[in-house]
Amino acid sequence: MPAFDLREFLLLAPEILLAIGGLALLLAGSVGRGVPGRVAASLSLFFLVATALLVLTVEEVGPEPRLILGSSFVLDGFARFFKLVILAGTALTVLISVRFVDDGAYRAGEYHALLLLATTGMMFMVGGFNLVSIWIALELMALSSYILAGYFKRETRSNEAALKYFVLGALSSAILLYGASLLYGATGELRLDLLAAALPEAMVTGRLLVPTGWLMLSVGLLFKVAAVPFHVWTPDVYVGAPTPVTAYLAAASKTASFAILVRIFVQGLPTLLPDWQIVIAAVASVTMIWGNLAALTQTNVKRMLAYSSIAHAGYVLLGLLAASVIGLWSVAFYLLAYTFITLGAFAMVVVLERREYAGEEVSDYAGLARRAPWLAAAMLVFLLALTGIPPTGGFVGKVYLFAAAVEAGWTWVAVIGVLTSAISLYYYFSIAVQMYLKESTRDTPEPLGSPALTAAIATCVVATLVLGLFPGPFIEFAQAAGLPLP
Amino acid sequence: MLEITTNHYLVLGFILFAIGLVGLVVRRNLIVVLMSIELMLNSVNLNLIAFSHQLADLAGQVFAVFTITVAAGEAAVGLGILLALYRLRGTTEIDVPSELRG
Amino acid sequence: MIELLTQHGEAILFYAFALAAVVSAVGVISLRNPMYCALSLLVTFLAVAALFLMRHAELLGMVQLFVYGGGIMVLFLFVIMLVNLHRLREVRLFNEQVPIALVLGVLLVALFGWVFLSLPASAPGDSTALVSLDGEVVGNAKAVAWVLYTEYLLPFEIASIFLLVAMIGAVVLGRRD
Repeated sequence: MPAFDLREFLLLAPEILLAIGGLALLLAGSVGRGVPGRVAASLSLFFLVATALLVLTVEEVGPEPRLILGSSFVLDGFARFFKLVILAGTALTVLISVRFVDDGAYRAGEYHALLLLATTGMMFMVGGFNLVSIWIALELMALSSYILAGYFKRETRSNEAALKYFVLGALSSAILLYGASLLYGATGELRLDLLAAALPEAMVTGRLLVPTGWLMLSVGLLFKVAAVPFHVWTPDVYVGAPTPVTAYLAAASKTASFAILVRIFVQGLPTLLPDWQIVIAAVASVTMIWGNLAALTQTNVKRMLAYSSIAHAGYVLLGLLAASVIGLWSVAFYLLAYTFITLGAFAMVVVLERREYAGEEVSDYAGLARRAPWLAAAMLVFLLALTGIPPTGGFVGKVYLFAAAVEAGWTWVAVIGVLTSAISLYYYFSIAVQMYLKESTRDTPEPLGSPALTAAIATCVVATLVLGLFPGPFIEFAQAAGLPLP
Repeated sequence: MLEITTNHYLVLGFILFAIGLVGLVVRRNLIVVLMSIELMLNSVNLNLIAFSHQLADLAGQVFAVFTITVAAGEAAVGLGILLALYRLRGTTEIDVPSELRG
Repeated sequence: MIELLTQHGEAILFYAFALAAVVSAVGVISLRNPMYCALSLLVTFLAVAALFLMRHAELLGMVQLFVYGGGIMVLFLFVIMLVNLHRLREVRLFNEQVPIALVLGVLLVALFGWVFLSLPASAPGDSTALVSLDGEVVGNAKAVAWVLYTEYLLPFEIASIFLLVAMIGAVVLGRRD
């Protein structure tokens, strides 16, 4: 007796299509001398768009979440929202990769195949409803990411990035897994809802198994979102990996990791809410403080953006901390905005980069306002959004995150958020100062755009401004990404 | 002491996990670091098997199958990174000073 | 003597295999020659496989032997020989964090040991559940396989994509070009 109707697999059509896309690119890349970068990118985009359309049409997502496939997968508003955000992030990554992977001596077929397969992993992650499904999908995403980080294997920096990412990633996976095993031992359940139901009794009969288990699980999850003090891998990996891969890690990977963090905490561990709120409050505070302080002294833009992305993880944690309806949709909204902002910022870094790694210093932006006024303006929009200044999506997102925290009674954490955002103004605007107030010299790299890159930057700018000026419909969209709260 | 219970397996599991963790942190040769990771993942399986037996539930054993799968996959990629490292720098030691600072 | 063995057989076996596992694990992280570390790791895997068998995880015990012993270890040994790692002279085995790591390791073992030993020692459940389907005894392999292919079919499929990515990674990163 099968546990479910095999036709339920049809509801996985988006993920299946994307996996097929990955396979198609792999096959295309294995023919002859490999597939040219532009062809691979077009093919990737085709599959990403088709998958997004399938996500919108295949699942009739009603108000009630629908569990399928032996309850290892769920179709709800939460999963659907995050799948779309992740697909958008991947599509933008593909656009900014075009010149990068094409020029270099590295094959585009496998690169795009790995991107699509990593994204497939992310889609399974956000729809997973069972610790096993979530974990195996997480490993799929992580493994693809390790390879992508080391893709420029003849560059020492890339290899070292892959190495650090792999070792620390595997460590965090092992810790996460260990915690999950303890929770399984205490409750006998791996399904999130049954786990939640079994927790109260397990806390009595299992004594210290439950606290130990969820703490280790949390450590593993917090590693994945790069919260302090589990962030040590981020700066070196972000700097060493090829820039489009860095952008992908900062945006899509972080979004997917946050999605599972939220789902596991809210749907799997609701009884432990008071405990995890304390932990999240502490982690969020040190993350915001340390991320912003460390960014102050950076002169390498990629490293600065790495610390900035660590700090942003801190802001997003505020929404989870609130554990309220507004808390959850503010997390969703912010991750949506953050995807576009981050990809835009990294796209700007790609514009200035030469021979894979030149052009990453803040001083390389000198005089950009005169050399390429539209690009400088785009960068200015991203910098405003990252700091959280109107009229950008970054501002709106932060307002709601802080409001959610205050409303839930965590005002002091929100205050830390506001103060650290103010500090971040200094380092983000050091770039703006270079662009508008300094002169370029002979050594400053010329911005080299391409149609794909321009399209990506333009999309990100428009998205950031639209989210800031007309947030209404997007807030409604984010509100669909709700979860039943304890 | 003479009655072997789940707790015995858990303690042994954590001892192996801790040994792997120490190995990952202190050894300078990447190949031994990779072996330490395998050790850690295997020790989680001990937990899962022990709990599966106690709870009379097969889910733990099934989860262990997936763990073994992931360990195998990660070993393959880890060794790939090691080969790339070796070809780049002629060594598999991981704390030789490099271009990336902390 | 026979009485001793039959009464405490399980304990003797457990402690024997546990000791083998721990000693060889320590060997993995402390031996100089990576080849010896790899062989030591193999011993650990064998000991753990035996422990699996003692807990009615027959399929997993065998899978452990085939995949870990026959697959992963062979992979490690091949790479060690490919790179001539067993001939390289390593100047320092350990980095400077040994004292802290050891102290932390011991503390953690003590902490977790206390957590686990303070658990109520409950009687194990009916282990025939581990070898039966719908009340009929079919053997552990069939029982695990059934659950794997029905309730956990989706993770199974995701695992297959995972293995594909592992292959891509091994080739992309490992090939000489």
